[in-house]
Amino acid sequence: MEVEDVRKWLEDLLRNLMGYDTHVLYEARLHLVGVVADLYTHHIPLAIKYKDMTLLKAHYELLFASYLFDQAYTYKTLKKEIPKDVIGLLVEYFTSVYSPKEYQDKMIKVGNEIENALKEAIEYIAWKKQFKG
Amino acid sequence: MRIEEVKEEFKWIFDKLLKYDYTVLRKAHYSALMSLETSCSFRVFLALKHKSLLFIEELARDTLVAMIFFEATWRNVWKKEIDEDTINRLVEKFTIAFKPTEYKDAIEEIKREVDREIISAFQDIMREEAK
Repeated sequence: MEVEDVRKWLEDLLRNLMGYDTHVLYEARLHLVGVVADLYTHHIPLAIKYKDMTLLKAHYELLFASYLFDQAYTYKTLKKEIPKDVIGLLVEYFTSVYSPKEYQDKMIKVGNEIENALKEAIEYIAWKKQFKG
Repeated sequence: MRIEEVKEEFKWIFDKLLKYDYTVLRKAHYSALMSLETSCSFRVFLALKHKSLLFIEELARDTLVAMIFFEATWRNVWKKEIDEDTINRLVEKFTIAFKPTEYKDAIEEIKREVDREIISAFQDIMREEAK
């Protein structure tokens, strides 16, 4: 798989995310922020102590999914398309951490994290509406 | 600085935090989580890209601050004092992340960051009340 395939995948993914309401994007990002912060709170001290980055890389797809929500939310709020250079930066965030052999597997994982975060956000919004009557 | 002194410093931080209202602690916790995530994102990327832990060393402080607010917020909800186990768990993470020669500076920096988050929470509340 090539870098250009990653770019195409990201463009489609972001276009799809931009179709969601800002409220959903915001809550989905918040959900991921909580998960990421919780995981890295444990992993960072261990990585420093054991001088080992395995744990940091193990959950990078969560961090990456969080970047995507951040950009989608920001540009949706601004009512603008995501600029090409931002997409370029996201491609770099992905391709400089993963090797080409890992691309496909990680794309699936990022996609799963995104779907899961959207599901959590939609459920939470529905629950909050019901709770408030 | 000895580990026992680090423990005392953590207890002091919690004694101080548990005097604040839940709303202040919740806001400060949320803000600490957001700043952790923001700095975490880019630094973890750089660490992985350049295969260097140097980029994440500073994050140890932010992770501890976020954990302190998490514990304080929930203690406030449950109306409980901070227990010895929680302090030991935090001190353990602290001693994993910092060398003994760094303890004193690191704890001072954590105290300053905790204060900054509390002040920012109060400012947020005042802004909301002014609306």
